[in-house]
Parts: sequence; C-alpha cells; structure tokens
Amino acid sequence: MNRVVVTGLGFISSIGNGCAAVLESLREGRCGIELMPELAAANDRVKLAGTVKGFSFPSNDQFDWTYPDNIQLSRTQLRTMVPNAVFAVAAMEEAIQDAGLDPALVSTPHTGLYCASAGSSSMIYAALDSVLKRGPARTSAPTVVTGMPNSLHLNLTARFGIQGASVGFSSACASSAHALGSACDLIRMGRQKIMFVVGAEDCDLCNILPFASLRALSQQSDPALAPRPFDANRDGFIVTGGGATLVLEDAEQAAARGATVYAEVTGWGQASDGYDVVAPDPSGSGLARAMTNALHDANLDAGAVDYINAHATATSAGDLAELSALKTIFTGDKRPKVSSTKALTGHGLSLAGALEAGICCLAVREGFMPVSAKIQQLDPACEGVSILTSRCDEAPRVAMSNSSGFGGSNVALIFSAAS
Amino acid sequence: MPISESRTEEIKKSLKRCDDETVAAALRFEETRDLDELPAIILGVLQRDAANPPPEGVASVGDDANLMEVVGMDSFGMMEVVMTAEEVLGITVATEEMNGIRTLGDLKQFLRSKLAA
Repeated sequence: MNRVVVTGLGFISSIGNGCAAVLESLREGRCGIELMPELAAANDRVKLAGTVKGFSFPSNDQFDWTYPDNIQLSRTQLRTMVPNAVFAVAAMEEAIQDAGLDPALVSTPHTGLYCASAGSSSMIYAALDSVLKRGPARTSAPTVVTGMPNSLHLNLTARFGIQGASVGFSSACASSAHALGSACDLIRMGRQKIMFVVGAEDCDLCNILPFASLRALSQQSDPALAPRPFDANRDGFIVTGGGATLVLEDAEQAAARGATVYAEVTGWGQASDGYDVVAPDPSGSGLARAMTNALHDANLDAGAVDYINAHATATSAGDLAELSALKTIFTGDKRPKVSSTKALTGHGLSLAGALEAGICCLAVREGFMPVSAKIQQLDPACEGVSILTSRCDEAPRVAMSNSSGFGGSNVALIFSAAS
Repeated sequence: MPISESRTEEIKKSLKRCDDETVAAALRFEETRDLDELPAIILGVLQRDAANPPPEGVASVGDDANLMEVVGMDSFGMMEVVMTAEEVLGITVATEEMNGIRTLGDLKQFLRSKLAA
C-alpha cells in the first residue's frame, strides 16, 4: 500500500487568508468571529459569524462580487461561480503554489480532486426563485450550475483542468473529512498520485439562519463569549465559511520531486451512530468506533496520539458525546491533549473537516498544539480529558482530527510527523 | 409613444453593466422601433457578455467575425445575449434559430429580419 503525505495547504478562513495568517492566528489564539450586522438585523437568535475578510458578495450577480486581486477568474469562469467556489479557487491556488506543483502535475489523469460543500444556499434560492417566478425564458442559463449542490465540484474541475477522479461529497459536517479519507485511499491503492482535497462553504444568511431555526446557534453578541466548546456555559455554535485545500500526494513521488512534507496521512476511520437524524448518540459510540478504525488503519495504539483537534462545536449534545467517545478510547496513562479550534474559527460545516485537517498539519509541522479558546469555566464533564486551555508548544508526533455530521456520520483522520 | 417608467427600468435591468450609449440606443429603439439603432445595442451587449472581447472593443470587429473565435463567445454567453435581446427588443428566439448564428453579421441580420417580420 502506497504511503500518503500532505505537500501543500491553502486557506481562506475567518482567522486569515493564507497559511501564514492562519498559523499566526492559531499561535496567538486570535479569533475570527465578529458581529455580522445583516445577520443581527435579520433575526433575533444569532448575531455572530466567522466572517471571511477581503471578499464581498452583495448580490447573486457574480459581476458585483469583489475578491482579492490575485484570484484570476475569466468572465466565463465567473458566470457559473458560487461564493464558496471563489473561496476554494483562492485556497487551491495557494495550495498548488505551496506544494510546488507545475501545471503538468495539476492537469493530468494522475491527479484528482475530492471536495465538499453543502452548495450555495443563496444561489440555489435565487435560481429557483427566478425560474419559478420569472420563468425559464427570463432566467440566466448558468443558474443550472450555480443552483446545484455540487457547484463547487463542477467549477473547480473545470477551472483547474482536473483529469483524474473527482467527486463532490455530502455528509453534512463530516463531508470534507470523508473526502480526505477517500482521497487518501485512492493514492494508497495506486489509482492516483495526487489528490486535491477541498472543503468550502458560503457565509451568509441563507446558510446560517436554518441552524438558528434548529436552536443550535449561540445567541451571544460578544465574540469573546462564543462559541465556547468544552465550557460549562456553552450555548451553541457559530457558523463560518471559507475554503481549505490540502494536497495529498504519493510519498514516493513527493520525495522524488523534493517536495516539502507537512505530515503523513497515516490512517483514517469512519463509523455511523445509527441513532438519530440530528442528535448524536450520547454515548459517542459512532465517533469512538471511527477513532478505533482510524487507529487500527494507522497501526497505532491510542497512547501514540499526542493531539486531538476535536469536532466540538459548542453544542451540549455534541460536546458531551465527543467527550464520552474520547474517554472510551483514551484510557491509558498517556492521553492526548485536546482542543477545539472552532472557538477561534467558528464551525465551517462541510468545510470543517478540511480546515481542521489543515490545522493539524500546521500543528505537526510547526510544533505546537493550538488553544481551545474562550473557556471560562471548564465543563466538569471534561474530567479525564486534557483540554488545552492555553497553547502548548510541544510538537505533536501524531495528531487526530475528528468530524461528526448530522445523520450520525463520524470520521477520524490521523496525521503523523514525516519520518 | 413615451416609454413607461417600469419598461424603462426593465430595459436598464436587462442591460446592467452595458455602457450608457447602449442603454440610450435601446430606449430610443423602444420608442421609435428604428432598426438603425440595432448595431449599437448588439455591440454593447456583446461587449458585456463576450468571454474575451478584443482590447480595442467589440465595435472594432467586422461583420464576418466568428463570434466564438473573435470575441470568445461561449454557449452561456450566447444564451445571455439572446435572452437580453428577447427582453430588450421584445422578441422570442427559438433554439434552432440560435444555432444558425455564427458571425456578428449573422446576429445583426437575424435580429433585423426578426424585427422586420
């Protein structure tokens, strides 16, 4: 079985655009959550969001959008774009450059792309509103593409000339973690040499407000107080958008071309709760099995894991289920340190798995473990789990990233320091 | 007959991002139905929707220019042009009629004959 390494990263996130900015925010514990005036004006349940800076999408007309000058989109490409795909294009460009991939390594049958997004709810809404109210004759043809849930996938494969395997994944908040694990398998099996793994989400009223209906979001207006995973007084999550890209590469090829390696993807596992459409199994049994499967896949004992980037979004049900799962698996004398970087970034939904996998790669290569921020009163349920209430400057040799989604789907990804 | 405020807004909305001269020509056409206004409207819409308009502008292109090759018109762009023509000129274009349009001259001639009919 071929070994798989991460050779490039790209980020557009609430805590920074680009690897350097994200790394600095993680080190400094800098939060990307802020008051979103149009959100606060639209409802009385949620006011904060993990906003993405440097981009604006004031209407569903792509030619009204603004984004950093270094993002190159032709008129033809822009016409079918959705906001999350614009974030992803920027994250892809950075990751390609970071990995040192020349165009011949990007657009080849040996390179594929697995990505995840819930689709652009606002663009889907606009497309349907137009075609139903104005009729098909008065609706722009590209809305067929912008109104598709896998619009990210369609746009990225065309924009980057992807010739290998390409799929858009949809398993709620575990989506891009599923994409990463599945991409890893393709390289292990020798079916692809390079896989781009991309997670991306919009950040606007249309993808935030439905979660307020569910009463899953924090009502705080002070970004210092929300979201607070693992805090006794946590009151829900905060949504973020953006894009994250990882370049997964066959280890031999990466070595042969002298690529810089962030970490090796040594294993992954998945399992489902089989419990409820939305609520996690309180015992965390599904996530526990996902972690066990990942450890088995990586041929590692639980004691080998130094750091866990938890899924913990700051909902009571989710955090408690994950704590229960962690206590089930990590029972020995040496237990991993745990943080939820969602306190800084917000919860990226389909983006979360890729974003946090990227964060784990930065932690492994840069030699630190990021803080689980904003904890004022640690939940007593955390007893026995080593929550990082401040940054730890020890280098993790093995880092695990957990993701859980609605429907009880769970994924654990393992990244090890390059040998 | 003077154009209603709502029709003026409709035309301006259809011609969003086109230059002022294109909008003015379209409003004059709405009032006069003068077919000599057509070239300015067509060129203004092509300038907006062509994927790769020449640096000196679509107006510099001759009638025999192939729209795909010379101004980089793609299938979605052509559909936008046709939809705009339908909205601004008040016509209906069948899919098979669209398929016959290759050059700038074809487009001008097609719209002229459609409106003269």
